Amino acid sequence: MSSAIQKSKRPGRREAALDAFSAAWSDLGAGNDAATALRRAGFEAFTGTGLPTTRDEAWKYTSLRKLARHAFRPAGPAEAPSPKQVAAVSVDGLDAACIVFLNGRLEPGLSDLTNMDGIIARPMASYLDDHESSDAHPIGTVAAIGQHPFVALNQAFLRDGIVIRTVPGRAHDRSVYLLFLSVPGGEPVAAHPRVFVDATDGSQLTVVEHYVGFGNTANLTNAVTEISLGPAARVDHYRLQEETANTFHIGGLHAKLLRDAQLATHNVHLGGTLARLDIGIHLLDSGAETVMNGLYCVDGRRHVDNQTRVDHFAPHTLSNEVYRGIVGDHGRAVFNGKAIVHPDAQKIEAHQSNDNLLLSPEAEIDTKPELEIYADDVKCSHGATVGQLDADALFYLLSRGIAPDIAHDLLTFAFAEIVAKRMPLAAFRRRLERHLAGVLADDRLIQENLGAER
Amino acid sequence: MSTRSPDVEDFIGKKYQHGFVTDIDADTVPPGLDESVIRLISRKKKEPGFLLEWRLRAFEHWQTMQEPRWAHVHHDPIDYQAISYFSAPKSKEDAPKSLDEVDPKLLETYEKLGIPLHERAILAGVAVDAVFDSVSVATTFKEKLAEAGVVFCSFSEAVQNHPELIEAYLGSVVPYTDNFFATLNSAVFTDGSFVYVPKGVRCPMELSTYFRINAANTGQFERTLIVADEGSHVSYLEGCTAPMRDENQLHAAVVELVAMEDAEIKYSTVQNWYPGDENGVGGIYNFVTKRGDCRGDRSKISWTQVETGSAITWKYPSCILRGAESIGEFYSVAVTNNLQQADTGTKMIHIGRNTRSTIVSKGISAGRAQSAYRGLVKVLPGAHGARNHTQCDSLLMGDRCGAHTFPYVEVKNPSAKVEHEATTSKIGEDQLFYCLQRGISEEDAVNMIVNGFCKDVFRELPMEFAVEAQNLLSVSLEGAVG
Repeated sequence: MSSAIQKSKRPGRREAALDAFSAAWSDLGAGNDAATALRRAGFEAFTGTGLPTTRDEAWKYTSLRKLARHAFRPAGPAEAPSPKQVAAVSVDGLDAACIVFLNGRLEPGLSDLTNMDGIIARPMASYLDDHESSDAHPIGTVAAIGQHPFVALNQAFLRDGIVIRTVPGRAHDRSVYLLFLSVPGGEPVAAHPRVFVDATDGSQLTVVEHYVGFGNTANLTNAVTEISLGPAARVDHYRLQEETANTFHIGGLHAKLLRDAQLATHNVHLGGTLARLDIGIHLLDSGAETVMNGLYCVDGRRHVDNQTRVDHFAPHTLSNEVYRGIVGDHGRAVFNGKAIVHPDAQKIEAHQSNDNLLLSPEAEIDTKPELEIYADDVKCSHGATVGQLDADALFYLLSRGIAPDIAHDLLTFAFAEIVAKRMPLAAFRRRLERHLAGVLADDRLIQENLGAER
Repeated sequence: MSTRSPDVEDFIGKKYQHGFVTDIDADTVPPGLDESVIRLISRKKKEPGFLLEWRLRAFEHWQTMQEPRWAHVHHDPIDYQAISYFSAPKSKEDAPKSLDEVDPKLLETYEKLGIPLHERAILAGVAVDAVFDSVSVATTFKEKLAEAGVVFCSFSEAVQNHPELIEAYLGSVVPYTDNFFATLNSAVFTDGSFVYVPKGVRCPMELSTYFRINAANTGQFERTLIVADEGSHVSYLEGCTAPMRDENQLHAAVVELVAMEDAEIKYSTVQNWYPGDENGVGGIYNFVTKRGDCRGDRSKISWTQVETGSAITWKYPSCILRGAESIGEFYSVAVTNNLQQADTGTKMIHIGRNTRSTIVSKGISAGRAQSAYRGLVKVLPGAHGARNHTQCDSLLMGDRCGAHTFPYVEVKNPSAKVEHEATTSKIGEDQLFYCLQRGISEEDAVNMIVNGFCKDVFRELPMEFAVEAQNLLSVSLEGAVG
């Protein structure tokens, strides 16, 4: 009988969460017809499926029970941190136009939309107001609401965010830095920012998305980024997630690549109580290439879930994925990498690797690298490992007189550094290395090494 | 049971009153499944009460279950009421006691299939417990085995002669609630093989069973149970072939292995059931549950399989590594051609300390076939020092086939080391060219390359099986290249 009670309990909680979202949705101010139609489609798709459960294959290892306990309010006006506070958390040394969002809403006072190196950056709200028909703009064409419930939820609340368009043929030296601040708003609030990057023919752009939490917030960040790459366009996308230990972070990064386009995604998870990122990349024409790098450090009782999927639709396309994770305490890390080679997508290459360092008896790692291949002239490989620090390497350092904890830290750092080194943006990598060195007990040696390197 | 006609009800009713006597050659129960069919099977096999109860519990549970849909295979819905759940070549009463008593026509069928039963038995020193459809018709070398104390007989015989062993071990590895097909099997299984190797005994010969499917429209529900007691060792060979059939046949077997302390079980399979024709018409649905339980410390279970047949193969021979320092192994070659589909792999559940597992899976897809590796490596918190290495490679032949990999890795112990690697490739044109310019025909060259690709697995097969497996491979891949 107890199982019957549990069964009736669970959907109840999910429904309560659904009701909270529904209530928030009906309070949403009206937009023009096009925007309203998009939101309605998103809302209907979301309520159609509801919150996913662990019975859904894509959510097998990630339970949303904790998330469903909260009734998240829509983000209202919040007290902005001072420019000094913002500067303290932001990635320094970036040559970038900085755009700041507060609980998902663009904060003009902290943002710089003027010095953009020709890049057109428009707040999502006014962009939607200017487009009476959804045929006239591409929002929602890259991220599919049918497959991802949280993309649907994001689209249901589509209002804030930014639309970025590059200058065709121009390699933009200046990056775009999107800083998403999650601040306490009394009750837990939900932010649904949407970023759309239109990388036009032959242009090059670096985008850095940075999610930071302040104070003790227990908010929900449900961010979706769409990137559309025209022929020969190149985008380097960096994503650093440093939410508070109580924040739920659900992200989506979806991209479409045309002929000879290149997309590099660099995805780092350092925070959040429950963090999930779905990456979906469509390689639509030959010559399209993507590189996916990822690093996650999971401690405390945190849960990090990375789901990546690359669809090779065309011949001569390439994907290369390297994800690494360090999991300790009661942390749990989930990785699911999928490479799908569609019929006739010959002469493609798809490589994938996921390595994990499991440091505590209470921690858990669930990894699933998948390949689905429907063409024969392909080079595909994947690998996954779960293990500890190499005992030989540890012994080597000990025999050279290095204390055990320092040797341990050095090797852990070196493990992560393999991914960090694959991230070319110096300011971003420095920030990451400093964080890694900071969490390790004695970082003197590492700091010296970092210093010597430069 | 609304589909059944009143005639059928009468027919079954009669059995109860007058006993089951019939003069038709294949003693087949009319299609359909309900409690009375299960009671009938149990009665015909003169089973003790506990077994009937177990079957009925399984059936009750089965009715609450839904057919799983997660596998990477597609097929028309199976009508479980259109299957006949019992078929015996002859009624049980006058079953032959030895090879000489076996119907020469049956032996002829074996000959046609290319397996000279007695010759093989004598030359290779293999005891054969041949299953024709569902009931054992011949068992050889029984005496020699009996001398060593090894029990090797059909499942029904074991039920009669060793009910205490059956009651103790049946369902202890694959419970009747396990999964849709295993539950169905638990309710309606008709026969199979049973092996018990006593403490400290090294089985003097390789044990072998040939399963055949003969009568059309007959689901095969085999149940195999192998128990290796402390310090014993047994190697079991299972080979399958089937004659041409037009209708799809369901095969839902269950194999349970139990290895006690220091025991070792080696289970080898060559599966070559009718795969359907080149248009995908006909062929066997092979939905099998195979699981081994390394119950004692330092025990070892090794699965080796060569899967070339069946329209759809869906099986995951697994190891539960419960005992400390126990070892699980899985070596597999799965060949799919034409429209065959295979979703196969293994599960390694590490529970005990210092448990080790090795997985080597080779998938070959040709024509329009789809082959998938699906595996789970799970390390539980207590499995200190667990170690797994998984290697799964796919070879693609032809641009319309598919090869897929779904490895699940779940680790909850920080001292565990788990590695998974997979590659997918096609036969290199340079390799082919090299062979051709040395005067080797294309077909031979492909065979050679494929056999090389699979050699890690073939090495694990007993010798006579390895030869058969290589031949099977070339037959299966006929016409795949060129």
